[in-house]
Amino acid sequence: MEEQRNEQWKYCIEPGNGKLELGFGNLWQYRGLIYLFAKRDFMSKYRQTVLGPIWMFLSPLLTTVMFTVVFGNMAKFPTMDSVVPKKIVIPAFLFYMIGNTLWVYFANTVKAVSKTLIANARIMGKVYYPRLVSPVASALSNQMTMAVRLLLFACFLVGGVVCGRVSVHITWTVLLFPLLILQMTLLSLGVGLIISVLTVKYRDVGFMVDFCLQLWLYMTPVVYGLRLVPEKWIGLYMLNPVAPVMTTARCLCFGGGYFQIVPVLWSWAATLLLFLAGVLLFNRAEKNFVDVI
Amino acid sequence: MGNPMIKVEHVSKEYRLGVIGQKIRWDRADGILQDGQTLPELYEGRMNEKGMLMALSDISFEVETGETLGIIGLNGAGKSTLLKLITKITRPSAGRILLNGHVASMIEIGTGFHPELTGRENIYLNGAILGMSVREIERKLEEIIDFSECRMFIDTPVKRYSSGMYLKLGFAVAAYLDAEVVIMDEVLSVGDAAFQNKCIQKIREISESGRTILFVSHNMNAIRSLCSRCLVLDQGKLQFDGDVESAVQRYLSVGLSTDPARDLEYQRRAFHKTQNMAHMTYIDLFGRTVFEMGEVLRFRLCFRVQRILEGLCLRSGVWSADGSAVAIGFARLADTREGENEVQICVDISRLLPGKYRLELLLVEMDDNGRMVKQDALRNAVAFEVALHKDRPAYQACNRDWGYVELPMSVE
Repeated sequence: MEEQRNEQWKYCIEPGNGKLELGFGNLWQYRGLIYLFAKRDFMSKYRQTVLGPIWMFLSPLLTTVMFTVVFGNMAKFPTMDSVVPKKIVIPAFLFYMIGNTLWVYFANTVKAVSKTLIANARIMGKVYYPRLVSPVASALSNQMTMAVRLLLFACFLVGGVVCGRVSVHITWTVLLFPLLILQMTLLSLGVGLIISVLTVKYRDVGFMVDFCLQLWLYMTPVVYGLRLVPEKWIGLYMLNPVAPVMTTARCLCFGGGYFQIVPVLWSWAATLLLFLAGVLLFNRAEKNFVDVI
Repeated sequence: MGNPMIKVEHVSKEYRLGVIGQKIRWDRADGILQDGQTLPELYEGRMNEKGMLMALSDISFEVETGETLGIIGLNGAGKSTLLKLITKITRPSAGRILLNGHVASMIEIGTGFHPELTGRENIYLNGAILGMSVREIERKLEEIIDFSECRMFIDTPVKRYSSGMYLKLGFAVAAYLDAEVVIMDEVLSVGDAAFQNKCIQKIREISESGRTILFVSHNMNAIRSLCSRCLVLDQGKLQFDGDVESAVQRYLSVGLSTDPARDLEYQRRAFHKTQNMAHMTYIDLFGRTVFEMGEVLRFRLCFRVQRILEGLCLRSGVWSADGSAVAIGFARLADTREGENEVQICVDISRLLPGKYRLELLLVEMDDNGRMVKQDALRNAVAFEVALHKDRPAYQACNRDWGYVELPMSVE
């Protein structure tokens, strides 16, 4: 009799210690909220600035110029991933621009996601909505920023080709570019979620994030081409899941460069693993994090 | 039996006290109070064996569909914790909660408003946080704006709103939620009297539309006018579940009492021990709570003992109403027998200056080494007042400067 009565209940709230759930179902129901959160982040970023949305274009341009001058002209890092056919000429400026765009997206998403629980602690302590909404919204708002930057990059690329300063070999493979963005998103969410869970209890981790991301930047071919890395170390170097994404992205955009299937597959495997681990850990921690934070 | 909507089964919630990760906590598992080591009064008696604070212990109740249930209790009684569990903000430590519908909460109105966004944008955002879809919000937008009385300012960033407007807008959004269960925590602190009436009207409307409401308030009149049933929480325990009027009476009797006679059975205890050997049940001041200076205080005390305690003593402390310890008295309770006991006590308070006081009663057992073990403790056993004696006009009520006690003084 008792058993039968239980079945008529729609929801059940239990202690739920240590249970692992993905919880994507709820997320779809709250898609409106994800969109609104992302829009809020994106829109409120440029309020009370004189230049406003111009910053969206200005800041990547300035960074790219800086990269070109410091790493390209002064340090003279190679801006090639491998030997490419003679007919392909890639200016250092475009090389740095695409790398910088992708890296900034990755790093900013990791940072934003890792702070999501602490930043939203007050509201999460008052209202329930699926906690995963906040990190996903952070990623989405960073995606909006990246979209603008990619558009800028595309303008420069096409402009360069038209003016004859750039000669690239664009093929249908450029259509695979969204896959790279998806991978970057999953990877940054995974890493960020794991950090966010740790930060709830130990704020120490938060201090490490900036430093580690900087270190990670230098271990990734963003400010230099892969040719800088000695041949015998390439295998080890490519264990960094972001490295193949960078080289592949440049390969797709410029129609030539470094592309190997094994590092790409490895990178996807690592991405999915980190993403899954991040989501599971996050969903486990969200149930009681309000008490700890 | 109608259709049950919420069923709370043996729910408990523990919190660790002190700083997490730094291994500091109040360790008083043995139940012996040492001097100078006190918990805040509110949390006394709520530690379990593991040294965790029981914010809620073993709560069970059921709510029918369409019912408006009031929840009252002092600050820290566990009301908000209970609501946080029902809304899934945090999980219970034990027990479970069964629900038959979607829950929407109005805990602290206006949370989630973004100061940079306009009122209109915030309606969308807040509605979505509370679980409404964008289409739903669009449909109700006009009604919400009308209800909030903020139409003139709806396209102004909410950071420029007055606090009243802010709260009105918050209530308006929450009032148009479509959930089967609506939780309202202190929502009537909103706005002026006119708006409050409008809120009460709206809550009544929500209730009449067949939805279930959990209503938390310190406003007893609101509880009386809105609720059909009421829970009283005290110190994390469900003290009462039943009709509203009895619940309100029960709530008002928690804390300081001015009754000359009091049932002590369920009063909050100043410490917690799983097995109390003695338990005070009733106190009677023989119909008086006001004494003139020079009089003595007499009362009758009933208590129950599990077994004969040889060294059982009654310690009574006098505290001023503003919270200072004034004096202490001590008497041995000889000839206790197992079960119910009754004693008459006389405390000489003739030297107390005029003012309001309360009496703290402790049953302690003195063992052979002279160590005292608490068996029962009541911080607010009873309150009394000392009035000015007409023959002593020199003592006006001026306790802050003069202390609380008059010393006998003479010229030699």
